[in-house]
Amino acid sequence: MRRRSFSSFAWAVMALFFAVTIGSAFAQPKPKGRDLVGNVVDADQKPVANATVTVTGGGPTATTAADGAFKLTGAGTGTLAIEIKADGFTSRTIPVLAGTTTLALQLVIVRPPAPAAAPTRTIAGVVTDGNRNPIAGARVSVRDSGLSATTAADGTFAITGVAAADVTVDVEAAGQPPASLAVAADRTAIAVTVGQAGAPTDQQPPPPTTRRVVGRVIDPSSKEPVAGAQIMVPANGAVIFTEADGSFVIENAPAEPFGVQVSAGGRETRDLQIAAGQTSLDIDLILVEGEQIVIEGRAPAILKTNLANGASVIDSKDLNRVTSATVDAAMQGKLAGANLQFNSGAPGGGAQLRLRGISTINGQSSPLYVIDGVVISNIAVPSGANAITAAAAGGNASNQDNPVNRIADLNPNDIETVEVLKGASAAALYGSKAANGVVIITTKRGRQGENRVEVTQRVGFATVSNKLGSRTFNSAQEVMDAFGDTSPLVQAYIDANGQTFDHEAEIQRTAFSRETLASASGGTDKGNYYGSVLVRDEPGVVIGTFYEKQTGRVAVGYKLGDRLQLGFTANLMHSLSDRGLTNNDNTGTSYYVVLSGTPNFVDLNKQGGLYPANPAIGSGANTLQSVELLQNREDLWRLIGGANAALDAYRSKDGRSQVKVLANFGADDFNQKNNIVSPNALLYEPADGLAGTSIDATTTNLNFNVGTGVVWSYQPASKKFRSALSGGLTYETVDLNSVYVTAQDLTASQPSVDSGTSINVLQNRLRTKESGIYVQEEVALLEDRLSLLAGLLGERSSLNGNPDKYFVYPKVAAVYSLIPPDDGAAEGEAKPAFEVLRVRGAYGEAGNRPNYGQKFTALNATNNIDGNAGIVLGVNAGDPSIEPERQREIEAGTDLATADQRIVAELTLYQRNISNLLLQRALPTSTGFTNEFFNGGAMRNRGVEAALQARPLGEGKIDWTTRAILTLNRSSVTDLPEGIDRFDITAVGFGTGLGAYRIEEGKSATQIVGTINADGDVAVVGNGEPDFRVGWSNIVKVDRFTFGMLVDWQQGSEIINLTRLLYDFGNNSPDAEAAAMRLAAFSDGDIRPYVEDASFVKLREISAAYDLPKKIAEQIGPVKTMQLAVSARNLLTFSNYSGLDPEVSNFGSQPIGRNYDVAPYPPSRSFWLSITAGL
Amino acid sequence: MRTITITTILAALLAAVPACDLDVPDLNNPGIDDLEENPTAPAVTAACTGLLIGNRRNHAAANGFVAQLGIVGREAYNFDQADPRFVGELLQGTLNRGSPFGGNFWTLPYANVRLANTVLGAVEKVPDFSPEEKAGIRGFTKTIMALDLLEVISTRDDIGAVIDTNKPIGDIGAIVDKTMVLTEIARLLDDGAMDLMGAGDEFPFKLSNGFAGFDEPMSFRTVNRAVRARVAAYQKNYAVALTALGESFIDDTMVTVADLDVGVYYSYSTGPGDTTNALINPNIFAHPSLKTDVMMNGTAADLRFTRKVEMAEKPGSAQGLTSDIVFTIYTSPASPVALIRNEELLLLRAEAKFFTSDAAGAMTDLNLVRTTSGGLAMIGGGAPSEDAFVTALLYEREFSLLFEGHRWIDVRRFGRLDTLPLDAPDHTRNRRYPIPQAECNARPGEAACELTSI
Repeated sequence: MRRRSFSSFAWAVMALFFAVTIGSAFAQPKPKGRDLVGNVVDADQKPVANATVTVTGGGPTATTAADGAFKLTGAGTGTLAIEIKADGFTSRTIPVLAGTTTLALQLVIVRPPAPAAAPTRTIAGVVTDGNRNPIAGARVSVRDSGLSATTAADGTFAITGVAAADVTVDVEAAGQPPASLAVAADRTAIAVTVGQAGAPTDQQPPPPTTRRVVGRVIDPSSKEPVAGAQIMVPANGAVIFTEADGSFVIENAPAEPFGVQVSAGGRETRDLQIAAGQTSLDIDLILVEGEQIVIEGRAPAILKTNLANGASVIDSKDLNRVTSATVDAAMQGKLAGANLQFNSGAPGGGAQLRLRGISTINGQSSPLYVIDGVVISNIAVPSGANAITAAAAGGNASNQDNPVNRIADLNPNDIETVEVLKGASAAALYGSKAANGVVIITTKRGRQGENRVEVTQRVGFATVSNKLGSRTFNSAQEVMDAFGDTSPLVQAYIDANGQTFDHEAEIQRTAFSRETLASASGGTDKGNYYGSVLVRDEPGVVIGTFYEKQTGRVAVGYKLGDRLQLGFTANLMHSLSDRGLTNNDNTGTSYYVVLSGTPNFVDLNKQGGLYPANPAIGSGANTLQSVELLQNREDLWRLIGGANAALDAYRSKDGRSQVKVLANFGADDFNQKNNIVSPNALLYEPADGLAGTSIDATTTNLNFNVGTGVVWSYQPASKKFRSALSGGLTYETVDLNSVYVTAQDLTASQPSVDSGTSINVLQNRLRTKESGIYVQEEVALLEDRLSLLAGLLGERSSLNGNPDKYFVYPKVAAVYSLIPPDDGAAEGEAKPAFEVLRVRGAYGEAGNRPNYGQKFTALNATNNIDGNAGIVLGVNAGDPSIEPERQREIEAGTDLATADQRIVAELTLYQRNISNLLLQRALPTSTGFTNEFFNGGAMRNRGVEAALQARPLGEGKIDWTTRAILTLNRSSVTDLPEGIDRFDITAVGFGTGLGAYRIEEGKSATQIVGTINADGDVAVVGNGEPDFRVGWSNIVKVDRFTFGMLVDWQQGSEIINLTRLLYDFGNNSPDAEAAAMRLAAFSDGDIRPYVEDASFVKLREISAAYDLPKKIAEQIGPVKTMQLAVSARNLLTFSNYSGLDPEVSNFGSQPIGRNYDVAPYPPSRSFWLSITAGL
Repeated sequence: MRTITITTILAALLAAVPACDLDVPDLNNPGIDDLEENPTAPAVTAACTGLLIGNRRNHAAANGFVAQLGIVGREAYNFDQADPRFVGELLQGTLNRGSPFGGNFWTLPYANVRLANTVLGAVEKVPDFSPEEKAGIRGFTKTIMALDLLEVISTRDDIGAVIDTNKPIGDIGAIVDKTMVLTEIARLLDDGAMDLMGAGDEFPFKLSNGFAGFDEPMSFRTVNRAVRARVAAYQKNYAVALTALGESFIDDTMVTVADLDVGVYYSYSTGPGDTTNALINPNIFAHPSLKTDVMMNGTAADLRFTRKVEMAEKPGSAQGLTSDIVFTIYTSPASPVALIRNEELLLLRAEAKFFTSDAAGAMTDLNLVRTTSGGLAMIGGGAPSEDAFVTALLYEREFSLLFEGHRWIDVRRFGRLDTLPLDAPDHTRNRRYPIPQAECNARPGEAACELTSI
């Protein structure tokens, strides 16, 4: 396993080096600057505002004003390509020849293509008599067309609108015999002689002034050039073919407007008119319909815009405006319908993403993550620190170990888009893994003709953003009152002689971080490449903790002939981290547990070279010593690789029917090593009589996916509808193997696990196999205004009681646009009030698989007594007929855009009903079992997702975009199986005395109950689900400056603050009097003083970036562009919560059971300075 | 042509996928179904060893039987900074049926009882076992089952417990009163003793080191009888107790403390997969009232006190409680914890004799323990009153069986719970453990679930 990873790494590095080398070779020579001005108009010559005009390859960018005008300063003087992008228009790239400074660019709406105007021409000429004298007043008419003209005094005439076909021209002149002349389709100028006996003859007039027209033919969706396209110019009979880069030149083109016909195999044929004076044009040539299909996860979709679900997309820019260590952190506050929270402030991640509320009680709680079509693992594997903390008595690992969910491994900068499919209706084709939603990550790819190298260097620092404080004692008597007259703390207080210590500050520091990023990308018409590396060092704010990450990524696409496309990706990740020892413990070892009981007059500093035992803690733990000596290392290597192929298996001659065969496979392989060394010297170590603890844990995981699919797309000649029918098969396996070796009583403090006298081994394996078969049909009707989609997935899984049974998940969706397609409305016609206005609705089903092992009633065979092995009864009774949960979701929504896209709004309402829940029933334990797995009960989520985006400023120099998203969800347990009125979640929490999550019919699934009095009465004391969450982002661009700000607001939800309880018990809360009252109430059985509101407003991200003018950038070095940016993450938190951070979960990621605060890792705020150079 | 080839390959792949066999077995654990339906001799003997492990599971844990009963019986404290319930629930408040404290000593014993029932059913299906081996397994299994049920009823006391346990999941037996539970325990022990009579020379499985000297059917039977004597004393059925003691390993011919320690033990080790004695715990302190209790003799020179308790290196405290003494009974993570030993048997015989009108015999046994174990002077002066005898007996039991899980049960069965000292005015004396929440949830309207710990 390790060898494979290493050799792959070497391969990845070589490939990247290769990619960078190619990139450099393709780089253009350094041009000098010039200014380009122009304006952008649409097909109707109306100005287009807010179009983005960019010199490709990292050149300057401008946005068009209301009159469509733009100015690009500092563009190179050589031949350039300019890319124009505008909402609602197909973007296009136009070559600009050297020297041209004024452009009149014309944007054409590509879909639906404007009906081709019948090609016409103007026939001009002169009528003379036999003596070559001009005849005035002669009537020249085109036969059978009704077109005619009368010659002027000089005998000349012009007839416009003549069909570009062979015609006959009749001439009648007074006193002359009539004459007729055949005019070939390509002739535009004729000379007619009448009045002689012979047949009239025409003579070639002097050739008209010609011009040279240059351009490119490109594919609008892929932006790739179309080579070998045929351009027919009827005006001069020329037939031209485009070069490999899509470019063409029409020599000797007529000066007057003329038509061209552009065609290429497999693409639509277009007839275009070239205006007088136009010397360049870009021609978009789309593939015949059906080929526009995007692969939507497993099943294709004709048009992305036709998705009937409130899909959320974050692009690379929004994701990485402020740097973050993990993808989770980068997504916070940016997704409507998502509740993303961190489990603690520890470096290196550990977060939970919930989409549309809680959809399960005992099933998997993580959304499905799919990266470039590969289903990857987001498991959180505990470190094994439980062997030291004994947070969960027994066992070598616990979810209180503060584990990282493995999505953290990805490099956020590699991501092009993150698309979140929230509803079952969107996610149905991921079947029984999709109940929590699907996060589809698309990574960056190289683009043709755009060789780009970018290097970013960041430096930053982080500081602790919140502290708890401690009680100050003012007299020895006060110490005696608190700890008892005989307590050793009395002496400690006297010894301190009034001196106090900030123990929190003693274990914290300002952490200086750095990050280096480099990427190279580019491509030709045959292939493209992308490669990147990341190196990031991020020390934690607690001494001894850190997160280091290195990633390398290569993505290559290649076209084999016309029909076969291949893509390969490889992504190698390595991280090394130390998260210290935080969260709950039962041994007096966890940092904040120790501090909670250590009064500030206790001196923990080294005395005579030795750390003193902490007199306040039974274990003697001295946190200063712990942070120095304890190691809790996590070393992870991960390789995600994939390959996919798309084959054009069949295409009908008219291009209206075609079949594509798709195949992909991918693997996600990680190897996580946890090494925890708690040396003998640590003061708490002899706690259990066994000095020194060393934990060596290895987890290997392999996710393997393979899938094949066929897409048949069809459009009848009548173009009444478009259809895509697809089907395919999938097969996936997951194989996880964790081995924990815990050694205690280390000989001579040697950390090798074989040097302990007490050695325990625990192995946990998990294997799943799944296969699915799907079929989907999508139809676009009414000129694409109505889109209908239906799909069906049958899936079977080894996790189900019956692995051979197919569970079927259907989905249907519809989208209807209330705006008729823009058919090039005539001049003067009122523009519709909305650019986008559509309604959508969808229904779908998804599932949540049973967890591994739920179908087995297990005996435990890992115990022995004096070396005699024995089997004992397990805790859980399995259900041999267990089935997946079934989620049925219906959603409806509307999207609109108005005022030239200045206001964009989305609203989605949904209801999801989850039935056949995977329940873990607490059995009456007199049966011998504690829990039993079974299917039953139902719950419901209802919610609203909304997004509102506005651009109040944008005309002038200041461009301000503001966007707010809202997430609101309410859950309710609608049904529990007969005989069960309620039950408490046992996987997390500490019983009702310390607040428990209770599942109760008719109540919220996340209600928290607790005892409220000495009689043990239990009442609802809170809820783990926020009332709502709002994310508010602002981007302001002023000239070359870009300012960004993201505010994340959570309203409501309650936290069980057991850290406060620990401080109160330790007589160490800064508010001693209030603490005494809280404790008194708690002693009377009332948990409520420790249940606190978790509302917060966080200034999540703030950034300012400055793009250096090109002239300055070029002087600095061999760079094309340079950007300087300062940013900060989690700068401010506003909350009434008394604990360290209202984002907290002692138990990590849980379906239900966040919001327990037990001595977590403290939160931090980070500041960054970054320089990005484009080469 | 190439297209056709590729298409063919893909089609073959398509066809191959649904054919995959998706069956995945349990990779982590053996299943109970095999043991119930297709038992083999190795599986059944492994389950027998498992019964020993299961019976030991919660005995010497930090929150286990000895520790918790030590705390509620005011022998010990646990000043765990991270879990205030060691004081708040066990000493100060009432036992909470929903917590791992008040809800303890129910699940694990019953899990072992289910395994025992499984073994009893399985053993008959294994042809490899001889009739003697089968009898040995039955006798052993019933004895362990009795010990597990005894743990349950010792903690529940007059609330009662479930004895009808061999039922399919979903079907639960009634909670019956204490008398019936003790009767059932006695029956299991008596049946087991009968089985052991016909069990040949050795068990088909190995017992732990804690059973050294008692690991063959006949010697194991003396352990069975010793437990039966304890149960009879709890039943106040002293004639039966005397009979059982006669068949037990009681030995009054000794002269040393070591002889008093003869008996069977829960053994612990630091070996891989084994369990350690978690009573070695820096948070556990001896209750300071022991220092005054021992003065009931007018002298602190009780050798049991000096042997089992010492001054702490530094005092411990939590929630207003402090103590400066710790136990020396368990010295390492591999220290065994007594299950039943000769010293207890002698005190049981003293008790049984006294209540069967043999006060003189009672005082002989009592003084034997007192002088040998405690190094104290004999109590003379003829037959004591019942009250005086009980006081004397409880004193001897307190220090002879210190921190072995007896004191709380002893003061309760003699109606002297109120002699337990309270550390603070708002503290309480819990007299029994409530029925756990999960059990009550499955028993709506159950009267036993109305009963609290006081």
